[in-house]
Amino acid sequence: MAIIVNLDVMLARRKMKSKDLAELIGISETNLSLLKQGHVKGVRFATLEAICRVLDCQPGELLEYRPET
Amino acid sequence: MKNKLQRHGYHLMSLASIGQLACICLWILEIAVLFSLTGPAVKVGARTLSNGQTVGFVILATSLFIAQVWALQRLHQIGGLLWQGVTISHGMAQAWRRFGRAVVATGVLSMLPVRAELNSAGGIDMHGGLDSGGFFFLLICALCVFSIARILEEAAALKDDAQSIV
Repeated sequence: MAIIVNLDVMLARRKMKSKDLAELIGISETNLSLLKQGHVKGVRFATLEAICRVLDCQPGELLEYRPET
Repeated sequence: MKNKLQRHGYHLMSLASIGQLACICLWILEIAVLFSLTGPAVKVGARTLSNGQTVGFVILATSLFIAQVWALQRLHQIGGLLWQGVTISHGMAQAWRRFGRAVVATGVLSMLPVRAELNSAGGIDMHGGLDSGGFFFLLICALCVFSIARILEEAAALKDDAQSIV
């Protein structure tokens, strides 16, 4: 997919574990793992907002568009 | 039983089983009457049906019986899925589509009435045809069932999509 999720990079920068983020934003670890790997069809604005709030970042830092060759 | 739908599924299964039992009893009764309980020859008035005519009657009655039991079996399958808590799924849509095919088969066979009558010369006339009045009813039923199957298919696809949005 042309949309890359940089959640693992942001988590590493913030030195936060996936488990803690999942707990803070109120989604399951399984869903967070799927999101990190880009194996989801969409992200709710509410989820995106919660991630940005907890990680103190912008949506653009989490998502990146990389055209497929 | 957890919820109303599961209870409904259980009732559907029970009714389908009762229906199947009734179909079997009716078929046995029909064959028994056809062959007459007193002898092997099928009689209309004072005349006896030829072997070909008898075989035709038996084939038609048996085909209708099989189609009815098949349709009820499909209904039983839908009830079973509901009982298991499977509601909006591709399996349920497939079950409805199969039920639709069974309804069409049963309807078509039911619309083929064949009767034997004595004619003025003392012979037996076979009357067959297509019940056009039942055709409209069958068409509506088939459309309804196939529409439900289609709606369920779309709903299952939407559900899959919704589950992959976090």
